[in-house]
Amino acid sequence: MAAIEVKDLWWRYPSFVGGDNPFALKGVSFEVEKEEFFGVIGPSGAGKTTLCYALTGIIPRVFKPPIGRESEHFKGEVRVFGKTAGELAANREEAGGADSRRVGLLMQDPENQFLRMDLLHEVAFGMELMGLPPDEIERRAKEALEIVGLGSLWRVADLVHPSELSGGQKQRAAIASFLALRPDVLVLDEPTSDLDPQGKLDVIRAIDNIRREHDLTLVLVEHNPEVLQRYADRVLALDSGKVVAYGPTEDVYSDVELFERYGLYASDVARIGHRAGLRYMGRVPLTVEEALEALKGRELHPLAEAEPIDAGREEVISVRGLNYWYEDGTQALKDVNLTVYEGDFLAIIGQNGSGKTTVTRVISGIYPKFKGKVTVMGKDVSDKKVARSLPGIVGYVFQNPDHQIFMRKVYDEVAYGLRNLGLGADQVDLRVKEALAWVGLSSKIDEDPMFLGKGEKRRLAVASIMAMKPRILIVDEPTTGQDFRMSEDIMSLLKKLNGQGTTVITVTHDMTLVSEYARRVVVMRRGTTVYEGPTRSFFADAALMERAGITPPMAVRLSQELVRARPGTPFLISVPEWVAALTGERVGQAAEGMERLAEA
Amino acid sequence: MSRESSGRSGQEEGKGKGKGKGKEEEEEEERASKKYVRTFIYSMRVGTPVEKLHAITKIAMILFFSVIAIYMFDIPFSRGGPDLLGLILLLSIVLILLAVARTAKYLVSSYLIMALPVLIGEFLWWLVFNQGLAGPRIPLYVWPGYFPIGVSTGLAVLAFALVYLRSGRLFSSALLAALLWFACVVPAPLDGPPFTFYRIPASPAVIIQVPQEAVDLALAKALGYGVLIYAAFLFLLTTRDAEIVGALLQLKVKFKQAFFAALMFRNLNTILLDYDNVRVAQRARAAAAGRNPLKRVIDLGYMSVPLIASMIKRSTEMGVALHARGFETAGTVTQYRETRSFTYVDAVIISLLLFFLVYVVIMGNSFTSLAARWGIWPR
Amino acid sequence: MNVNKGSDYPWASYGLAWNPKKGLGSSQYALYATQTAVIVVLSYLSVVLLGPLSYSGISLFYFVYPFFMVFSMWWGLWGMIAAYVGCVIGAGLMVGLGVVPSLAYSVADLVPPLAAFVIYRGVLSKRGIDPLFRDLVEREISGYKTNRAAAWFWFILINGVIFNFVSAELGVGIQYAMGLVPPSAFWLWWWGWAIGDLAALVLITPVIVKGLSGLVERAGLINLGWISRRCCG
Repeated sequence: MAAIEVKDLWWRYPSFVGGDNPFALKGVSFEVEKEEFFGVIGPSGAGKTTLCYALTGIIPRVFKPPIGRESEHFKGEVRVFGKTAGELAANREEAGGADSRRVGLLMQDPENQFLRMDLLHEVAFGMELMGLPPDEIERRAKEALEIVGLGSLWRVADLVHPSELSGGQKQRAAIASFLALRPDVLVLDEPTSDLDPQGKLDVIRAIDNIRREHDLTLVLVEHNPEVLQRYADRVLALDSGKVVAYGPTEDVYSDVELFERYGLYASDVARIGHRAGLRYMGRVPLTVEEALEALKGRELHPLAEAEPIDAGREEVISVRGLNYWYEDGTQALKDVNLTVYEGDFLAIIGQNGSGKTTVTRVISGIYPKFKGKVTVMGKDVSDKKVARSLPGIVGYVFQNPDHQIFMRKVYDEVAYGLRNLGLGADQVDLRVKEALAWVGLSSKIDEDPMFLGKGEKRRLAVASIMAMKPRILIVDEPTTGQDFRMSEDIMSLLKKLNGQGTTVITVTHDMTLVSEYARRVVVMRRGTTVYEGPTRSFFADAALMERAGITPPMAVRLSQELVRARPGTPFLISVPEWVAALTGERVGQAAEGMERLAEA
Repeated sequence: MSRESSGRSGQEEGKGKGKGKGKEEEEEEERASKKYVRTFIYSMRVGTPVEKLHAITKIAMILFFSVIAIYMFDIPFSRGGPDLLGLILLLSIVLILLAVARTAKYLVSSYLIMALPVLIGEFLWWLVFNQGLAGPRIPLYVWPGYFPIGVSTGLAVLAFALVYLRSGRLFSSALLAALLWFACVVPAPLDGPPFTFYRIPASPAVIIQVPQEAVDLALAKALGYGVLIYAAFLFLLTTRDAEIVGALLQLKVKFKQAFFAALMFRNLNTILLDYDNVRVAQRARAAAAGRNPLKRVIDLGYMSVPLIASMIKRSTEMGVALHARGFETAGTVTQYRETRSFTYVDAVIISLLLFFLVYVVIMGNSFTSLAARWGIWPR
Repeated sequence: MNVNKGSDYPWASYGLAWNPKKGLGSSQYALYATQTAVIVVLSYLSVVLLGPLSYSGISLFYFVYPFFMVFSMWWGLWGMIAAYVGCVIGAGLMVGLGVVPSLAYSVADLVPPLAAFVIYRGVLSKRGIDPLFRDLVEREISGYKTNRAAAWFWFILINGVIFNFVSAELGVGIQYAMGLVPPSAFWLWWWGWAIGDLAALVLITPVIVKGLSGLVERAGLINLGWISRRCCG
């Protein structure tokens, strides 16, 4: 018997106003074997979360179809170990002890899943509800925390308040709280979006180990191709509620065209292989090793374009000896030095907690109480008058657009900052329309931002900052938690802006992005800068990367291996560069080609 | 109030490499390094005597202190008037407890220091609105009719210099100095403050007189409010939300009902986090809030709708999380380390409080009258 | 849309039944806890943002008032509980005012939402006035043309005047009985309470209703009766 069987599942959310909602899942069928690691991918809005809810009985127990119209909302079957998911959830009470069939669900936002007020009770909560004896709870809680890498907090776990944990730590805590329940099936809906790449792999590796040791069946919704390629046995791809691909990971992932059509993340190597015609055992290579094999006998053209030289550019931001402490006294930044030049496309990278976001906040004037010297456009930021005018010079786009949007009309939203800056009504009107046209939201000018889609909200956030015509734009994590299409969307927007003269600074985890867009990087570690300079030089220095705790993108790792095998080959750092080197196209051309596909 | 998430509790993401220290030592360090624990507002130092008290004791303290204080300042003049000495005693106890709980750092560095102007405001308010009381009048403020140049001026200039050098704020230093100067002149007899070298004549002398009883009353109210405010802070600064829930459980409230309170506190936290994030985002949009209260209120108006919308959406996911954890189908719930035991110290304190309450409220004793009888208290 | 009797209105299902759908699901549980927390925070901010002007928990502009009024119309008893808890904890404990006085006079905050809920759902909803205040801002609701003037009239009369004044009387009265209000300042305090609430009500209710009604309706979150919400999820 398969662990999970889904047969022709149709579901639509009940509607309370107006007509019926469209179906969110349309005839989904698949099976998950026992102890399998099963991946689920798809663009935003495809129905992945809905599917997770259906697998865990949330649908139809929490989201109930209206009485009398059940068959119009829920069709088909979902069985977990032979029982329908709804039944399983109801029988939780009767199922006691470690042998019971149990299905766990981990959701995306760590804040909403952390239900108790300290770490210890959060991990123990499920067990308390199950009625386990206290010493058993204690034992399992300790174990669970160890597994997810929070073991050192065990001693103080009852004193750690959720506000003292980062998003990533909260996600680990959520995982721990389910692991302690010894589920048979664990469904995880993008549970690691807040973690940096290393952290992500660590957590997934830990979960995979548990799967092997404790006969756990895993269903993981994830964007990152490397994670699924490495760990998932089979993968299901959804789009608009329908299954568009289903099968062994290798088969699904080597269909790069499918990925491009539906806006899914394919690995660097697969994208290179697809555009440059590399073949490994009849298909596109998926890992660095496979690509190396596929490269045997392929010549690399020298890169035609030289890197533009930075000499003679004006300094727009200068940070010297920056120190910053949080309100509770912990030191967030220690003697940070960095320089940003006009027209830069700069990426600030580092592990979680390295202080990269804090630095940008100090630069933009959001955190005014710092020690050290920070000048923007030559003016000292600690001067109150300068600080007041900063929003007009340095624009800041936050990671979560919901935090930035507060007006009831798109027009007013963009106009808000402009009005604060004291511009006249005509000027405001002009700039608002300009900005909205730029991001492609002109048609939504009178809509309520609350009802815009995720991608549209993000574009609105960018538009409202851009309308203020800042010389420098800082964007915090532009692609975290986004699907491929939305990522490409926002990055090409930034590239366009940079092309027109705006200096762009991004804070990001995504090394692929850094390699493709950022010409310079600033690397931070534990509150200090450990490197500042051209991206290429950074990625070429393996020892430096390791010291900084940064995992290079696949394209770079491929180069590292290739240079080892064929010394003297040029060091390539991004997918467009690889494609150009293999096909003879110009780098810019290769990059544009991929962007056009994304927009399609 | 909140800080950027940064893994502050000492754990690095994704680092499993050996540190060269034993596991035990690491844990000891961790425990030791967690000196502060998050309470209702801000943090408190772990291990202070006040922190160790049970939540019920702390609640009892506020309740009892409040009742006693209210009683004390409500004693009508026909029965001897408000119990000033008693209030002073009570306030001192509360402040000492606050000190013992090592909360001084927070009290000084935060908005709560505004309690002082509020108390002064209350004093003046009660004073102004009670001019009709009979009885002897005393001078509240004496304006001698000239500007004295002497020690008082010297002090004022010194204060100005010190504050200005320290803070760099011209206006505030000047204001402070001026206030100090006037304060020196207040308790002066009609011929001016002592050690005056020179007098710059200004106007005829003015004596503002108020009924003695009004002063007593206003002082009593101000002290009483002080007790109410600081007792509440004592609770808020030294109690963790989890303790309240624990206390409820000990009072035999059903788990799901006690948990409702816990969930509410958890949400409070989340909302404040969201509010902070939105405020930070607003700052980036040139919304210079500053101290202008009207602007802050208007901005809050704009922010509130999306804030509430996001909280409502969050609550849906929270409901899912609860369900996934087995909340709906839970039978008997184990209580794992939810409660704190009631020690004899708690019992002693509650008994003392009860005694105090009975002594003052039920038996109607007034410390002021007692002291007056023994000749310690003037009048 | 022609309306022949009370039950023809688009809001007819919102009545005064005590608990039409038994059992509190996790989502509702979470929602009610959340809205209570929202009211607590707003109560706190109502008092704090305007600084020391607003001591005694009587803010010159108690802007949480329209919030718990609207929440009570949506969620019945839960909104009223939130109003009380909000006043005790948010505008009382967290501001530093003693809990004892707060516990007593916060009862005043229960009166307006309670009265409004009963009157609107029991009487007015059958006479063409929307118990969810939507007709203050919308010209039509599900095809039914609203009478905005009548809506505003009843709104101000019942919530802004009658029960607002009752609650001011109760609130300030209790504080006075405890000796927290100087006798000659009684009327000043009283008017402060009443006007502060009225201003907030008139200015902010439309914003809330316009901004959030849609969301709450679409998610099916509005209560059919005092305690439980709409059917099916």
